[in-house]
Amino acid sequence: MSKAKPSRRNMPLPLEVGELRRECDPSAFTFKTTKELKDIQGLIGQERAMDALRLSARISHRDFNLFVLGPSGTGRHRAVEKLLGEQAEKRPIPCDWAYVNNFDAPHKPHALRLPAGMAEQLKSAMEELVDDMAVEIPALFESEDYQTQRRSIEQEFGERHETAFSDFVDHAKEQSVAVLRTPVGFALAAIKDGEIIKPEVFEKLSQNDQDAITSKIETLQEELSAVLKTFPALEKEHRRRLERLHAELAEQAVAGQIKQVQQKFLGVEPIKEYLEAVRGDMVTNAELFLQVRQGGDQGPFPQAILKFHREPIFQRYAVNVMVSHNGNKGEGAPLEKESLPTLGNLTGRIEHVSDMGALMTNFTLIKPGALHRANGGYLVMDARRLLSEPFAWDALKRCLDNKAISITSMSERLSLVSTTSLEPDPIPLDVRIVLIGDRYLHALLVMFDPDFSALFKVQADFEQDVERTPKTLQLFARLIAASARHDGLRPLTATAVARLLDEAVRMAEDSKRLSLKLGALADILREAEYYAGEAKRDTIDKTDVEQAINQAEYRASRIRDRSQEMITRNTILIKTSGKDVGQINGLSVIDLGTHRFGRPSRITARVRVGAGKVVDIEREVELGGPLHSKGVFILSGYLATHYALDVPMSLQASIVFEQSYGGVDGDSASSAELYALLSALSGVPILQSFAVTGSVNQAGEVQAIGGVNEKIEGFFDICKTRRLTGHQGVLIPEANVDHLMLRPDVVDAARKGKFRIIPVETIDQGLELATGVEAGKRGRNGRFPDGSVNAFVESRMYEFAQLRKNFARSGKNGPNGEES
Amino acid sequence: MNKSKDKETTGCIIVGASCYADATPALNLAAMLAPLTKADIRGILVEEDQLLSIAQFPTSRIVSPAGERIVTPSLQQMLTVLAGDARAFEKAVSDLARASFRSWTFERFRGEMLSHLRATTGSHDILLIGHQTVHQYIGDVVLVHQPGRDYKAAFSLARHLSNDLKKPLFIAAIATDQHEYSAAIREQREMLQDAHQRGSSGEIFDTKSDLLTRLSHFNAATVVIDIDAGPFQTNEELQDFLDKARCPVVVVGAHAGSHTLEYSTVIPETR
Repeated sequence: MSKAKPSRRNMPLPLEVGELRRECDPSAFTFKTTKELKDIQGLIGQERAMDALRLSARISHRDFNLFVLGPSGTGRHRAVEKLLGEQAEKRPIPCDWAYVNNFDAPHKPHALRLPAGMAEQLKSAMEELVDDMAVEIPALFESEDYQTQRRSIEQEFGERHETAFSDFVDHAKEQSVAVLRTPVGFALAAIKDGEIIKPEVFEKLSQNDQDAITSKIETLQEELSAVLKTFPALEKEHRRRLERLHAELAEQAVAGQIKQVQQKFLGVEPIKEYLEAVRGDMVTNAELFLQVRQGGDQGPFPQAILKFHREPIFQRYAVNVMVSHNGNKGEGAPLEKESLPTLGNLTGRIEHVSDMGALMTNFTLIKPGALHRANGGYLVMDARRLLSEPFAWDALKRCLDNKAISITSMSERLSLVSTTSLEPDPIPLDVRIVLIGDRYLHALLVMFDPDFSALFKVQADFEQDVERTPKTLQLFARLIAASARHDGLRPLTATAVARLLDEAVRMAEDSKRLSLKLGALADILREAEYYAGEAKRDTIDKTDVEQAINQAEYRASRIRDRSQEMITRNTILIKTSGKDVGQINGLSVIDLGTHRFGRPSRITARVRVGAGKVVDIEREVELGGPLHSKGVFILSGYLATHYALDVPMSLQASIVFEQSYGGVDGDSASSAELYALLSALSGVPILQSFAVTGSVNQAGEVQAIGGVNEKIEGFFDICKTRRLTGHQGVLIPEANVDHLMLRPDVVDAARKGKFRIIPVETIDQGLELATGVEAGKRGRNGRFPDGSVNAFVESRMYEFAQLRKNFARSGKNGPNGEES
Repeated sequence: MNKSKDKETTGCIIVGASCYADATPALNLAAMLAPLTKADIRGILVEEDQLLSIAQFPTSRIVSPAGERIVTPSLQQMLTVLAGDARAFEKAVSDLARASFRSWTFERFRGEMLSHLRATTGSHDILLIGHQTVHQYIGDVVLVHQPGRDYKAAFSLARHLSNDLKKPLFIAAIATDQHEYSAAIREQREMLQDAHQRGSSGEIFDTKSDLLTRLSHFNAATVVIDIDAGPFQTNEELQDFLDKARCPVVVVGAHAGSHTLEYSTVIPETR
């Protein structure tokens, strides 16, 4: 049967040049350079996200924290900072917070809420107070008045002791008993004629005399014992009298100084209460100020100006300022960014110092975290970094839930250490948290963390592209102008702006949209500015932009070049001319993160009679991903539902990407695989001057794919290297036409008729183009036209079915055809 | 240790006591006085007969400083305790001497303390008779002087101790007639003008008994007396004085007014 030629009337035509690359027209701009353009406020195309941002920034409800999601490079960080910065300025300045000693329970420091700017003032005032007390109290205790009173007390008690003892001694003497001192105490001995009665003399006395003496001495011993036992009580009374004296003196000094400090902070109740506690403690512990007393001047540093508040014993009077706002007009609420949101950096930490081998802490070692600094305002963090830090996310949620900042250490959480620690008053928390992350992370949090949705009720979803209209083009030009000014770059010419916008279109992979990945565009801009500078121009021109784009491409395309070299050197077999049965050039995209490129791959299909299975070799060896497998199943479905419907599918087919060892996924090559299969079944060869991309559904419709520009350019580069014949081209899905933004050299080749891009909507269209033979449409008689590809395919299917039937009937089951 | 050295011109600082507890406050005073002189240090532990007698009473008791009645140590025990005291006393003397780069000696003697101390004291020696106090309150420094007699040596010591202890000086004198009274007033005024510690004062008593009564109730850190000048000169008077003072006593002129020979050869008194 001869092959029928396809009808030209129905065959898709190659795309016009204008459809291959829809460039921006610089003449549409009303400016010559961006110097004439005013800055644009905010971003373009991000109304949805910015509305969410504004809501979260302004609403007062505490659980309307914000998650900013979207691709990086769309200006999320800058937009967040700008908007929140503006909003923060309008908000009231939050209060200061400080930790001070709890004199009754030092392990539970008190948190003082103070008016903005007052914490540092209080700290300075307390330091001055301590310095003044350290000079005044010792002077007071050296005063003649104190010395006199103290001496008087000591004399009084000394004399009371002496009198008591003296009276006893006199009383004993009256009874002829002497009091002797021994190394172990006081002994009483009878005396006679001024001499102690010795044992041998005592023995010679009458029993009555002995008993009388013994009795007398025992009685006096009791009396002496009673006298000595009163001494501890006397000593206690002495101590109390001295303490009272010290307290009275200290009170004199402290009360006056405290009053002066109170005058500076009138009306601030927390300070008033604190100073009262300080007064009481200073009076009770006045001896602390005597301990640091140093004798005389210290060289050039007279005692009067020494910084006593730095001595460790006076730490009890320190003021640990956690957060202080200096209260300047216009300062507003804080806007904090924490780039390393560890547990300690976020909620603060309690530090310890080693003292004699033990870890000690006190309220002065409490350090603030980002939540403290941002309290009353906004805190911006990167979501991924936050979630990467152990316990940080959990701590943040707990603080938001409790509306208070509680400080815990990781070692406590893990029960690794048991050491003295603190339980400071929790500081109330009123902060808006803004997390910036990607969509995948946001989705995971929503799905798997029930607390997330309760605490982060607002999401600001940043778009990655915006519709391309004359208005957005103008706005984009202003955005580029603002970016250049912001970075201190030279102004751009209108042609440079247009070229940059072309690149934005290409990045969007849609000729009707502009990419909003401003970061990437800014990088091109900065590099273009460098080239303009090298060329000593005052403005950035189109050539500079193109150079920047080309150079960036060049720097990243080593692998692409090596890959193409392997093809041009026939290490990897790719034909760009001739025709082959069951073989076609498929197209794939290699994504290296910052750079993508297309590459042709040879797809082959082989068929024989079998049980109706289409074998995807990639899948069989686990080099094919699920999407690729899906594509193969779909084309199998197409095959099964389009040909020889009244007989069982009796073919065994295998499809493979030749010389592919790195794995494939996606269904963008499923139409190419189908063409190869149909070619193998029909025996009609496929033109190797074409490459094909597009996925297919079971109805035979060719569907859109991604990376169409790279794929076309990948095949073009091979053809160009070998020499463009004018017969080469790429078949793409019709649905991808709007996505085209090909390189100028490809467009140029197309203009010259050296290369063609042809859109197809159906498999039959593609089949005709790829084979040069009519695909064939089933007629009313239920048959495909003779000589069409489909007719050949169906014929082969019937042949397989018959072969299979015959085989089954014959019962042969061996190579020698033995009977079963 | 009996490393003796004749110090005729500079004398010695002699610390005498019947036990280490008594010696300790006297040693502290000796350390304060050492810078005033180049004198060597002599420590003398006198094991008093009456103390040893007490130990021989089988049923006697001793009242501890805390007021508890405890069994009196036996003679052997007492000797053992005294031996320990001697070692501690000796070490304290050597430490004191070494600290001020001077020689030292230590003796142990059994007998009557005051007689022996006076007998061994030379003309230029300063004698410190140790006495433990019953309480912890450091009192004033007392100087007892005889009006009309040279007071400068004793006053110099008393003033030095007063400054070191930062305690006032209390100057006591006995004036039996107007002449002595005027002299006492004048001398005390002179001394008080030179006294550096605020609160220093003086008092004149009519009789020794009045002075001793006052002294027995007075909280004194130490009492300084020149027995060569008086008014207490005999051993009996001095013993009574010591009993009433109940604190360490600094004695100058100790060699005079005693019934011992002037030189180092001493014949102990017999009773």
